[in-house]
Amino acid sequence: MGNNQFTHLQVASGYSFKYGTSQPHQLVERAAQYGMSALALTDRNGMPGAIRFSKACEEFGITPILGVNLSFIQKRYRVTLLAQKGKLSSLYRLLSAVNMDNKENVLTLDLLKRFSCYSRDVLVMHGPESALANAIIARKNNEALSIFNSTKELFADQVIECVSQLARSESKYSTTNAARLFGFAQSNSIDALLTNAVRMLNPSDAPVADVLDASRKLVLISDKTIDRVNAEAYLKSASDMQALADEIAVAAGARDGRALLRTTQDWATRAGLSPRQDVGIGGIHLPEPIVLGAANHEQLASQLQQRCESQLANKYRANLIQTATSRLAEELATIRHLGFESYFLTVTNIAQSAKAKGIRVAARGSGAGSIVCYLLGISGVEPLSKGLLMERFCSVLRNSLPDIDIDVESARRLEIYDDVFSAYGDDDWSRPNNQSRCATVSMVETYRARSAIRDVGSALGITPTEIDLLAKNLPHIRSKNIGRAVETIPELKRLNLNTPMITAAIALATKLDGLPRHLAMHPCAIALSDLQLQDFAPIEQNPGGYPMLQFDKDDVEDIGLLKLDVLGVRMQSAISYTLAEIARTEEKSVDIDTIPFDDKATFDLVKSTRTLGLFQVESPGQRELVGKFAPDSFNDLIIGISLFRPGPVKGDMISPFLETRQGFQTRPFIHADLEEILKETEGVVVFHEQVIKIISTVTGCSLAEADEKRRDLGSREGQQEVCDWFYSLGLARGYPQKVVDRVWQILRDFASFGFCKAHAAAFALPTYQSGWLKTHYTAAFIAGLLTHDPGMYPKRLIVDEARQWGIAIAPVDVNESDSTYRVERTTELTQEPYVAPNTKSSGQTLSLPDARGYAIRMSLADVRGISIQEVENIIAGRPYLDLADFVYRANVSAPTTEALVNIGAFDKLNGVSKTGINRRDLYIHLAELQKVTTKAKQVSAAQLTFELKPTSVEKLGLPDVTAEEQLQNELDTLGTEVTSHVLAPYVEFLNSIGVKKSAQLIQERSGASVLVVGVKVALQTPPIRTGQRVMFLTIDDGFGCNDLTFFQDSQAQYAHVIRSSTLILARGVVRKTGPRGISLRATGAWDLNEAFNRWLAKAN
Amino acid sequence: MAIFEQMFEYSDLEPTALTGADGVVAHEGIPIEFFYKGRAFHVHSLLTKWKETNPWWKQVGSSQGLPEVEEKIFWRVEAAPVGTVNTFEIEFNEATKTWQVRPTSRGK
Repeated sequence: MGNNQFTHLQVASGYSFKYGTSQPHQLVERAAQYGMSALALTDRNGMPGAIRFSKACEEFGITPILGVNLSFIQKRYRVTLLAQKGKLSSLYRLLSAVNMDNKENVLTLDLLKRFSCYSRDVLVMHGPESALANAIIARKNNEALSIFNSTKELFADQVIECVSQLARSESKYSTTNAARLFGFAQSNSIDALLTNAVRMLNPSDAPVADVLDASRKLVLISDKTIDRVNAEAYLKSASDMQALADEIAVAAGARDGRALLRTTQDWATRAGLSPRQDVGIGGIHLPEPIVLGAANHEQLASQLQQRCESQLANKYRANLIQTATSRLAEELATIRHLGFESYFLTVTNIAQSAKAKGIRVAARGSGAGSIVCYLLGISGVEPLSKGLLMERFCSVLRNSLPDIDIDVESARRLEIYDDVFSAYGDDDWSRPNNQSRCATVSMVETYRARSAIRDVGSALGITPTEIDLLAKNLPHIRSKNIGRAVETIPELKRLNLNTPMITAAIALATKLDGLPRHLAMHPCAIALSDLQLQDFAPIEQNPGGYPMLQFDKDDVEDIGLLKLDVLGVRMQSAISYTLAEIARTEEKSVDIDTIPFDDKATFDLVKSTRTLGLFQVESPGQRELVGKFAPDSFNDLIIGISLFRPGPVKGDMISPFLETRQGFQTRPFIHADLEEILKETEGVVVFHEQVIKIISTVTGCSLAEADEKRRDLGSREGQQEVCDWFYSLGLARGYPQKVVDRVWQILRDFASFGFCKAHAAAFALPTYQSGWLKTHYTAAFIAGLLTHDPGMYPKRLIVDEARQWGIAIAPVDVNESDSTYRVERTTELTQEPYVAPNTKSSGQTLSLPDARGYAIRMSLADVRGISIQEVENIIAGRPYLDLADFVYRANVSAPTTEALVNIGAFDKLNGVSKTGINRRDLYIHLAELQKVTTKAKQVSAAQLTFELKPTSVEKLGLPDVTAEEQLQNELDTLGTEVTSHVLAPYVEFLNSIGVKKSAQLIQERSGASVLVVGVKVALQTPPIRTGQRVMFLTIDDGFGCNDLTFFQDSQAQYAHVIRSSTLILARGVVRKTGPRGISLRATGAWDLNEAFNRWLAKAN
Repeated sequence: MAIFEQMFEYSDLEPTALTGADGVVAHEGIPIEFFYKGRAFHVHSLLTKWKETNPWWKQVGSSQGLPEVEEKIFWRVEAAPVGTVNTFEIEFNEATKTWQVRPTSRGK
């Protein structure tokens, strides 16, 4: 050799959790700077950094070498395995076998023998931590030899790894010990090589290493606990390593270190990998045709075609079939070109098997733009009528796999996982050749400001209170930004952060930025592949119970696996529950996926802004928006969802849209060719699809190319390139300069704010569906909301909302209530349902739900402190004759029974209103019963029935529970009022000072100053255009919600009230913003109780 | 383990060898001569060398920010005062099978 080359074969990055101090690409970059031609990554216990490392190597022109350092035979001894060129799959599979066998990652002799078909392809280095080295140092040469020989046949090759970190002679990492190992190797004709057991990039990283060690071992940094003696474990240059080789060799009696260096280079050559061939970067792996029931690829393609075509007649009316057919042909051609048939069919099968179990499935994302997805039933949105594009989702110009996410009922999400694993997995990990084609995906948790400060603080011995104070006041920022945060955030400035200890801690925490801490399972991603899954990714057992790739989402994309996100969405559970309730109570089966999209009543509900419970449009900001622009169609919903995001808000896209829509300004005309594209959004560019179509129309390029250009607009260099290209083509095609200028301005300004219409359409679908259900089956829908709690509002508000539509609230009853909220019929008289008053500006009455005659029965599950078992017991023991019967038979704890008495769960049973017995009587009776029962448990059960007959309830003549106490009990026990609204005690006061009900505000003039009242429901500070802080307060008064906006001027005086009070009296100026849009600019806020007490005092 | 004799002759040394503050003379970072209790010593062999870093965590508090990582190199050597190692000529007479010893200078 002799050309001054050295390759580091033992290198730990930050993916050796809480051990390595640098990122893989930093190590690669340094090796490149040194002029090294190859570098190894041999993290401890796993290989999660492998893909990132290999990509960095490719970028810097270095050959990657991959390996893993793990426990061998016994936990306390470690060796390093290296993959041979062309045989990385064997290393991965061996590592997976170890991971799936035991949590401590020990490669036992038994595992080695069972999986020798893999280990025989793998190289092993016995370094200072190995049993072999231990025996040599202890001068037990015979034992050393026998250790070496015992595993000779089980590996491709073995080598002794000499390391000197210039530690003192007694240490494992001294030159003396390295020389001993080298000497032994020489005497026994065994190969020996040199590494530096690297864990740092620079010597100055030493304190970081110490903090990581201390944090891993949960100790304080001190002389006793520190692992390090010096800072030599860094990536040294070739000449430094050559000098070390000489020192070690000479100390062992040889002339120089040339033999060591030569062997090191030999092994580096044997272990050099190709990022593309070996590591699999840039590859694509989809489930094979045979898994999907086709003999070969041809058959698979025709299966896809046939399944799509068979649905054309179902889903398209005669007038659209022609267009649909040709669109389908285009998409199938694209899919064929890319070879992605398996992708679509796999996702379809997963969705269909879920639906077959009755689980609701809805695709989200750009997949909604594909007609193939629509015909296969993956997406419920029809793409042609909405101008959605396949190219946005999947195009021949982008040969990475498209991304499909599916929303499913949150409660049943794991059933889908189980399904996928039983169809595509193989749970026998005890033998080679596991046939798994699926696994979950990992997610690397990294150090951020709070976690960094905590670990550093503990390691340095800063008191827990100080650490807490600092950590809690740090926002969720990157730890490298701590320094700046300390200088700018007022809460932090107040703390005394200038002590040397704290400044040192902050400096250290900053250095921890972005270092991996832990490998967790991604909450919703599943990866699928062909049988080569485990050839290109190692697997480990995750505590969640599913086999997990050690790679994360980005890595999975780099090696081309099919990644599916299965998101649990509570709204889908709520919809599913609603449908079940409808079936139960109306004996009608509603197919929510086939309802017409033009139901006027549904849009009336949306226009009324009474959208609580409607997925995506229930926030105060959204309610204001729909109030302003009064959506009339499904497409309008899509536009509304796309507009209400920080981008369009900041970019001032909403006002021009609304003003044109409401007729206050005319739509700007740019060019006839663009009219069709911009018509639906009144000339404002809202959707990615519009950007794509505009680019394609003006330049004449294909839609696929236009999408590429759209993506390029995202970077500054990209913008410049696209600009030049756009101008040259646009002008060449004859568009006037002014037009090209104007269009370019629009593209440049708005391309980054646009939203994918397919995404929005996918969101709009459950919005519309929930709206339709709320309109036509209000009680069942609200029962679903209460049971699954999917939205942003507390239950008491949903209960209020039910009353608005005339629904009665049936209290908790031990004989009637279930574990969920149930719909009942009732003859109870309820309040008149909300009727949106006719306003001059809207000019029309809206038809809104009238759900009188229905009641929602409160659920047992929401009783505070009740356990699932108790709920089941109560239901199992029904019917109960009276309180005594319940106490004896229901098997429910005393506190729960008391709570039930307090909220009136026994009222009906014991005939409370009829017989003049009141709750206090019941309460006393319960106490007596409990005494008797306790006594009974002390006596034999057989005697119970004869001697301990329960007393009957006596009318004791005590005053009944007051309305206030009743209310308080309900709030405490159920978290919501049932019998009366929490504002009920203040009604007289409120009427006397002229407080307006929320439902009446729409009748007020613009500019009028009104008083409103309510329970605080939400307080938000969303971003607005000018950058000033605005506070949105939502309060509920039992008749609806009042949304108050506090601008800068009113915040100072009233901020403390709106932050701390629950019952708020507020004053504001009415502003009409649209047909039903009401907004109140707040001019005052007071705590209701205080105001009430002052009024009382004055009255007396 | 007379490494130094292999490496270079003292007389060949140029005056550019560094002199340390404590009177240590080093060549290419390796100590070769030093003064100890007023006497000059020559280093004859290197036994071992190692490195240590400072316990930075003990130094937190003396200044702001993170203390620097400082390295120290340690050498364990065999050395003898200059002039105490002498050169001798030892003669063996093949005919009479006898030995003779006389001191001499290094040069020849």
